[in-house]
Amino acid sequence: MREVCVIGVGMTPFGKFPQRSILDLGREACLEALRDAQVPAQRIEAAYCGHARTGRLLNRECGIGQSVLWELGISGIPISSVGNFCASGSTAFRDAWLSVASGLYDIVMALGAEQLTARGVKGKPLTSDGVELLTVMGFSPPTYFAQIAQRHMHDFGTTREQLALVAVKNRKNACGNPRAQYRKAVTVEEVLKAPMIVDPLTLLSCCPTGDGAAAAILCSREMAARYTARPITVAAAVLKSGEYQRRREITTLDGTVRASREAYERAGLGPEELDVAEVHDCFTPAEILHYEDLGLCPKGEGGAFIASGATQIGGTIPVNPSGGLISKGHPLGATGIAQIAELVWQLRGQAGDRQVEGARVGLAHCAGGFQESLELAEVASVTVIILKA
Amino acid sequence: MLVHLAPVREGLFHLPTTPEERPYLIGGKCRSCGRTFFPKRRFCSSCQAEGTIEEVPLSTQGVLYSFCVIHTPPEGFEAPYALGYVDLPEEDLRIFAPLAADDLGQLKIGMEMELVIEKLCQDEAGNPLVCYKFRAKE
Ligand SMILES: [Zn+2]
Repeated sequence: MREVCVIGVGMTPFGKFPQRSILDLGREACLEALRDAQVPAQRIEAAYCGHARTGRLLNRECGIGQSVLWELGISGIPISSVGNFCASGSTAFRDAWLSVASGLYDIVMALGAEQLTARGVKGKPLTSDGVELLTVMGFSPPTYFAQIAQRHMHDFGTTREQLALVAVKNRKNACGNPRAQYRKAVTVEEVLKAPMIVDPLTLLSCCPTGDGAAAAILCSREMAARYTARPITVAAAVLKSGEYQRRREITTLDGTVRASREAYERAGLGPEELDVAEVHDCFTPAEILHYEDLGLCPKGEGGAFIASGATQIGGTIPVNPSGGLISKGHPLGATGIAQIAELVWQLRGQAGDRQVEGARVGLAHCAGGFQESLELAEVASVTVIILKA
Repeated sequence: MLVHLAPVREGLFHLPTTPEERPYLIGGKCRSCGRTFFPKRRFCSSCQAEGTIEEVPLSTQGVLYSFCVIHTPPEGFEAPYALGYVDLPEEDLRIFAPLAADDLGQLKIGMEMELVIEKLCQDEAGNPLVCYKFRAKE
């Protein structure tokens, strides 16, 4: 495998843009990435486009990538859609990495776009992809993460206040991110007293819906030197799917454990060497769980870990300096590549008011999708990507 | 009577047709490796055998593994309602289940639960659908 670098990134602001088209959002992000990399559009040899719910919401199952890139003068090359639940964008990034690492191409693009406000019925949550029976029986994503929280509180003594601190930290970080959807700080009390969705998750414990796009340009180490003096190295890009396990524990996502172990091994470093992480905080208990499963703290100590301040900007391992999904929103196909954009800005020292000083190594983590299973199953897809300055 | 009502999905549970009958969940047990699945499935993911899975009634007694109470309901449901995962120790299963209790506030991890069949929700036409639930025994 060859060493692969990221030489350009782009991202639209995340928010609710029902009047815009998903193609327009995609083009804005791709154009920014091309300009950031200073690469002519015609040099792109292949593109991988993450999008997850465009079939249901926009009557477009396929082809977002081709349509986005056509207008930017990129056509004729291999372009494919990548759908993998919440990890659609990060899986597209991993496919792009693989295509360069393998030696097949020298310079490629990963992009992701989603427009969740396009949903047909206003004010109702989009039901989860592919879990028809569970949904008929009353399931929704917050019911899964609320049960994670209940069992974590029972087994490890995690508190509602500790869960709320995830939202407090991420909302505070977002105040420094002009591309985040919600840029207003909240207090623990405000999180706890917000309307109850699924106990113990209140409205402020859940990531909002949203629209947006993000893109990254990847190329071989040799070629990177032609375009930039500061390439960001892809030290690892790992994809796993959920394992079928009898009577598994709900308080760990084994996919995250397995993906991060492999990523650390491939990158030749351990969690203690990370300077910054963007993790999949779809609901507040998820971030607590990810601390533990990524090895940032021991199992069961995630609640105490956030309370210690370790994951704030200025702490030992700042998590979600961008504001996370909780502040940005979660346009599924774009989320994973937006995490990559944030890490690239952090590792270049371009993250402005939310900069993690001296960040050299960053980790991005996505986890999502549910199995249509009446036996307790873990999430369907997990990615862990490690970038180095 | 419940027997006249539509189940949320065919093949998940047995609806009693006489007062003597008891409801049960319909599982599948692999003749080849002995593993039990819920619901019954065609292939055994444990030993990759096909055609070895036989229908078995699952035990009606369980232990609450985790739960949640929903306060903002999806269409067709009335809040509050509860969902959980219930352990069936006899079959070594941890299964998804709507929960029932006289007071949802009494739900506690580790408590004993018992299978019942009750109205769950309404379909789009407003007709009630019945489903298995686990009811708190305490
Ligand atoms: Zn078997």
